[in-house]
Amino acid sequence: MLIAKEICDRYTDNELVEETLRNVDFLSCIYGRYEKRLLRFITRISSLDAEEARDVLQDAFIKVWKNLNAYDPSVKLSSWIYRIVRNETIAQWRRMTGYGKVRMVPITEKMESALPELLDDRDLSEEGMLVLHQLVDGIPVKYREVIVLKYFEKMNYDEISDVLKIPEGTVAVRLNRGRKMVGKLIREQKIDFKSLP
Amino acid sequence: MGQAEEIIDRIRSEEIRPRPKWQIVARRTAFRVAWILAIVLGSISFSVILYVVREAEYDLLAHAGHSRLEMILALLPLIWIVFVLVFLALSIFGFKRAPRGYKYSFRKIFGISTVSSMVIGTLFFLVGGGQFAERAMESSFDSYKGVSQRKIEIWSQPDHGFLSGKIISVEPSVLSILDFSGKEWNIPYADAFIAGRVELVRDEQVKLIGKMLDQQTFTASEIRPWGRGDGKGPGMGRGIGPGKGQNKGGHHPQNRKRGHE
Repeated sequence: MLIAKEICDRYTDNELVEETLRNVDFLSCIYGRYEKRLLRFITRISSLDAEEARDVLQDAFIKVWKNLNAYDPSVKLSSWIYRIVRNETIAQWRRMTGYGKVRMVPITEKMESALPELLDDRDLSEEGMLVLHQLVDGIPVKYREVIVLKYFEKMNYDEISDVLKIPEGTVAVRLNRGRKMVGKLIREQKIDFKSLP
Repeated sequence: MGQAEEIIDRIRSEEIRPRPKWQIVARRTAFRVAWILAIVLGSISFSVILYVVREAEYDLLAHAGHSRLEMILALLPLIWIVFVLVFLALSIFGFKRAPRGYKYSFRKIFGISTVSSMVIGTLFFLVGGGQFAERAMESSFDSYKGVSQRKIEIWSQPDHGFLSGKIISVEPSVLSILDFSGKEWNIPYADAFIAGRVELVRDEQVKLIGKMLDQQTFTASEIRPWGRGDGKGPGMGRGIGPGKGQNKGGHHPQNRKRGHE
């Protein structure tokens, strides 16, 4: 039996972990709290469709349950769950599309041009965000996932570091390179975000 | 049915259980222990390197001629350098796998592990740990050549101009010595440089630089004391020559002590 949302809302993340270990029904509280964000995250880093994303999320939450004793409260629960979901997404995507080969845009030359400020633009229209998602979709996944976590999931460096299990310095480097790649795509495709509806 | 319900139903129907806490704690502890152990073993190896380097016969290099590289390689504690590198790699692996180890860059972990091994290794060396570990290795593995054995090998090459031995008689211009293999040599030394610490008396252990004239004669150009070490000097180590305990060793208390073992 699922736990009512009002009851779930009384618990902090860490309390929910403890409750879930006592009663698996509380897993629905954790699921409900992060479902939308995680589904969005899956589709952004992988371009899986909604149905496939749900399957991935289900498998990921089975892993959350299996590894719940390994959760370290010094890391935010959201970061820990994002990590599991990210790994599951990548594994699933590899099986489905030959991850890392098919979708990559071969951007190899060093880009020295100015960084795009676009990713920091909070006033971007819905259409603009859609175009931006498609552009981010065109860069290698190790840069894409950092950009998605930073700009679309609004995580800070520490949280991204916890999700991807890489040092914060590496997060910064990948973010910088990813921004340059997106900037190059914008210039190549001559997209004017200001003119979008 | 919502997806949360589906997940919980699946967990119940397939009787999926969380991994036991003890397994997780054991895994985390194993990586922490691996890191600490690797640091400790790396430190010990580093202390042995310091000991071997201190004991190395650098003055030989000046006489090595075209075989200088060979001599340098012979003086280097290569096996211990390999040990240090292996334990360094293990410590980096252990650190990276420990909880929150991913927060540190490779460069930082490398720095922390290297500095830790060097500092602890130096302290270990200063209290004599390097020498102890080196001897333990030597006595445990027959194939391992310790400092003393390597020293003997280096100084038992009369055809290359290096000879060592125990003085068995002293004449005004000729010494007789018994080398490590128990062979007797006549040593004309009239023109030789004699290091200040050498006493040309019976039972004194010396090392010689010079030239082999024939199978019994070696002209010395330099005579040096056998030096500090473990007393396994010429004619001491394999029950040949005058034997253990007869080492005068006046300049080297360690030698005297070991000579009675």
